[in-house]
Amino acid sequence: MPTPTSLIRAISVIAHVDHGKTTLSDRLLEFTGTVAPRDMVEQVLDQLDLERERGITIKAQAVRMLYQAQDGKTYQINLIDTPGHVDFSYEVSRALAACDGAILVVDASQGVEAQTIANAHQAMEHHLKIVPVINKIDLQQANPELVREEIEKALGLPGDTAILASARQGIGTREILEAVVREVPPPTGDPAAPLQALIFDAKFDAYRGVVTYVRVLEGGLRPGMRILMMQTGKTFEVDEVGIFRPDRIPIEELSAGEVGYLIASIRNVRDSRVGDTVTDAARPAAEPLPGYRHVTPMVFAGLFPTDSEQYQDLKEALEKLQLNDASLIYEPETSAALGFGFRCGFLGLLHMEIVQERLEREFDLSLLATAPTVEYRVKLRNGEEVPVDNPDHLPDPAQIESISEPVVLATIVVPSAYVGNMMELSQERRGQFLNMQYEPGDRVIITYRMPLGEIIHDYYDQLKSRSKGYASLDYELAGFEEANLVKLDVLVGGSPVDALSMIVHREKAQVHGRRLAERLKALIPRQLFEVPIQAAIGGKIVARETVPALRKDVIAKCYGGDVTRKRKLLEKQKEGKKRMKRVGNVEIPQEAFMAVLTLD
Amino acid sequence: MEKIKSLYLHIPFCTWVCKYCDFNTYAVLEGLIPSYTDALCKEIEVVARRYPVGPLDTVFFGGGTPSLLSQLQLETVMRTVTQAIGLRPGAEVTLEANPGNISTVSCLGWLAAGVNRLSIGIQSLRPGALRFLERLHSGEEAINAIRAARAASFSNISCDLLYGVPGVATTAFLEDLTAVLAERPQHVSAYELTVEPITRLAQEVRAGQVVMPEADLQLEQYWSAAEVLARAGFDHYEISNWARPGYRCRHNLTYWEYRPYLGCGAGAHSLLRLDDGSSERFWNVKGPQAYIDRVAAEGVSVAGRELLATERAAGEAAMIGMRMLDGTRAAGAFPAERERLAAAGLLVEEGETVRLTRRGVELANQVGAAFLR
Repeated sequence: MPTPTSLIRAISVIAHVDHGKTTLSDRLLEFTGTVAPRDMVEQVLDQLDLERERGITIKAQAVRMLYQAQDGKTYQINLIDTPGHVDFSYEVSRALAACDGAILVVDASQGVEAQTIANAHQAMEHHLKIVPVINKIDLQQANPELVREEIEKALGLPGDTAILASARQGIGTREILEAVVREVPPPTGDPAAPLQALIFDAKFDAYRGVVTYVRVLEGGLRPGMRILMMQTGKTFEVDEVGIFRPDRIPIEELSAGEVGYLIASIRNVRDSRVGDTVTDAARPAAEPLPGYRHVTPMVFAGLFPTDSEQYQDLKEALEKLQLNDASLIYEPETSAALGFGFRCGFLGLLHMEIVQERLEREFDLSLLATAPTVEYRVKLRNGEEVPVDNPDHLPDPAQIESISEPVVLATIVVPSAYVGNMMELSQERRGQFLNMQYEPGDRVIITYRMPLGEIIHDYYDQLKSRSKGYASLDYELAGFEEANLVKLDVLVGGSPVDALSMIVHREKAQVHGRRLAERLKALIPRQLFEVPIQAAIGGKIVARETVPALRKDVIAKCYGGDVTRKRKLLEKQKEGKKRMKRVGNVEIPQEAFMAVLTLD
Repeated sequence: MEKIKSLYLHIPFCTWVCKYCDFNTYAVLEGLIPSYTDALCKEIEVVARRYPVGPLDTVFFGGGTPSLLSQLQLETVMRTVTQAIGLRPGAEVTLEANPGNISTVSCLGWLAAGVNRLSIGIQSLRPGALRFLERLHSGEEAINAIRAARAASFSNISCDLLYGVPGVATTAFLEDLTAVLAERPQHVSAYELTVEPITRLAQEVRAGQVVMPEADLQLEQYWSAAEVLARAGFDHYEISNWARPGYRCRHNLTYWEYRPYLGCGAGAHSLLRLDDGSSERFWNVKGPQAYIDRVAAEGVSVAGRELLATERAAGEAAMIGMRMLDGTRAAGAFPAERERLAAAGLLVEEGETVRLTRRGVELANQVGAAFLR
């Protein structure tokens, strides 16, 4: 018996990273009896091992709760938990598109931070009703009154109605649920209209194929229906529909307003595209729902198997991982230094790190990643424009008319004492100052227009370290801008190493070249020969360092009883060398290929 | 199987285990020496029947401190070797001895037992260095030991020295060397003081209590010792060994030339060479008591074994053969590696023979490793 739409709510929990939204979700699940106390583990909704280990949410999760409100009625509340890290903000965006309201969690001691603002703005763009919650009020440093003021001033939301809560201690849970049923509007869809359901996530299940996460906005979705994906034009027959509690539970029908999943023997996640509209093939809706921000990779890097024999394994692993992570893209790449591998596109550095870790862990691979880079647009003299996501593929400078780089709008929220440091750092990184706004509680919101390429090179770490950890950052892509960029080549032992080249601003090229050469000198072990390391711009050497030759490597004694031990020792040495990459005559250890990352 | 002509006998007892030593040796177990000697004799008799061995060209009493054996014990072992395996006329029989155990009387006894080469563990003549190394003798005792051996008419005496000892300058080390050479030994082994992982020295280095000299200083002492020895008429025939003409250690040459040998006693290794070029190596249990018990029960005391197929055995032969500074023919199977190492200036090729260059000596491990898989 379907729930009347007046008793349905669909909400998301949004917050800056670490403000406690996953803990709050845990409390809501407990309070509504969705998860029995004996089944309760921390971070119930985080399903990847990595998520629990790192205490972060990577994938959005959906769950249905039943809540008996003080008005005596039982409401169906659909909750979507979202990741907090900026790399995964597209996950937030797609979750919000499937909701009518959002619980905005703000840490009572940290206050409003960069992603609080970014997420609140996204929720407003989706016209969601926002329920502000001030969390962690049990902490000694909590200052809820100040946070109320910040919510008013920085977000333009009514601060006085913000609910005081402690997810850890279960304070305020009932008040939050009451506010949700009272303030978030019920869905407006008509259960009798032609089906319109929004796909907000998809997962690959080894046994069932693709599990598609949907919110039904109009009509109903039942097993046996023939559905049409409006963007791709593909049709499938629905095998099963169901809800998450939080495990999958099949039901008879998902009707207007409800959140759940469908299984339709879809083999490939790409046929169940996030943002697409599912409709009834027999009685299609007139038009698709508005999609949302298309996910584009922000950073690119080469992934190479350490052991070239693992190339095929890596290929299969990427295929499998992509089934669950549509934001990961890749194509084959060949490097003179590293052999066969894949050029991969990621949402950000954390995403890259997680993909690499999942590949190594879940597929037992040993990988070498090259330094991440952004995608440049190169205008050639013949008028053509080519994208370049690999520094080594930059065309001959003689053919280049201009190079544009992606820029972002960066928002930094920081206590006023660190404003100077933040500005200094951002200017070092070629940031263009846009605005500064003083907020209550000694907070300053600074906005910069900055090259994305500068952000991916440890800008965030620097931001944190130069503000004693107080600064928070959010950014969004803001187009491409022409810049005076050059390719910095690295020669080791006289031969160029393609995997070490980078694209940098001309003014910084020399400094970068020098630092890179220094770092490489420290990372490349002594060899039989002296190894010169050179950095060059367009054939001109701008920096040079030398790894001195190995001075002494000899065992004093080798008699009858020493032979086995000595042989094993030398074999082990040789084994260590095999893990390095040989470029020309020089053995280069893996860390060297990431050296570019930490030049500042 | 190639006929075995060399026998190593391990005596795993010391009065004191020096802090840099990681050999298979034990202090405070001297009480085991009698039963150990019995076990050793029994093992010799068993292997003599089991392997194609003898008559022997070389016998080597190593340790540990073989000079801790009594006259009677040494004679018993030597008699067993002679009766069970047999010695060729002119066979080289070496005994390692510490200066503290050497007197004219003990030397006459060893000579009577059939020992004809004495290897004396001098290490240094400096009081500070000897204390640091925890040696139990003085410099004077060391010099007197050489004199006693000569007086007893030992005509093949080898002296062991250590260089690269913290606090010993190159000039001081060379003074010691010169003083030792003045006693006219026939053979000198000069070893770099090496920090072996499981020693008290390694602990002290890790704790920062001891700072080892830099590679440059170690090499300075090494090459200047080589010069002094060359001037005194010694051939530099192995990385750490020098001999007057006719006095190279024939027993150790067995190892470097990759010929087969048997090792008896706790922890001793043996190498068999098979006709197809492959090798078999086996080694005994390390603990003296365990060794004694196993020999009593089984006649032998093998703890482990490895078979090296032809190619791997050839690699090992090349790895160890290149330690001989006159060169080796054992690297014949590795033309590509030879070429690469020659191009790198570590080897010179002379027909079938390859020889380490000066730089090759300094980087001998790199050369050796090249011949391994």
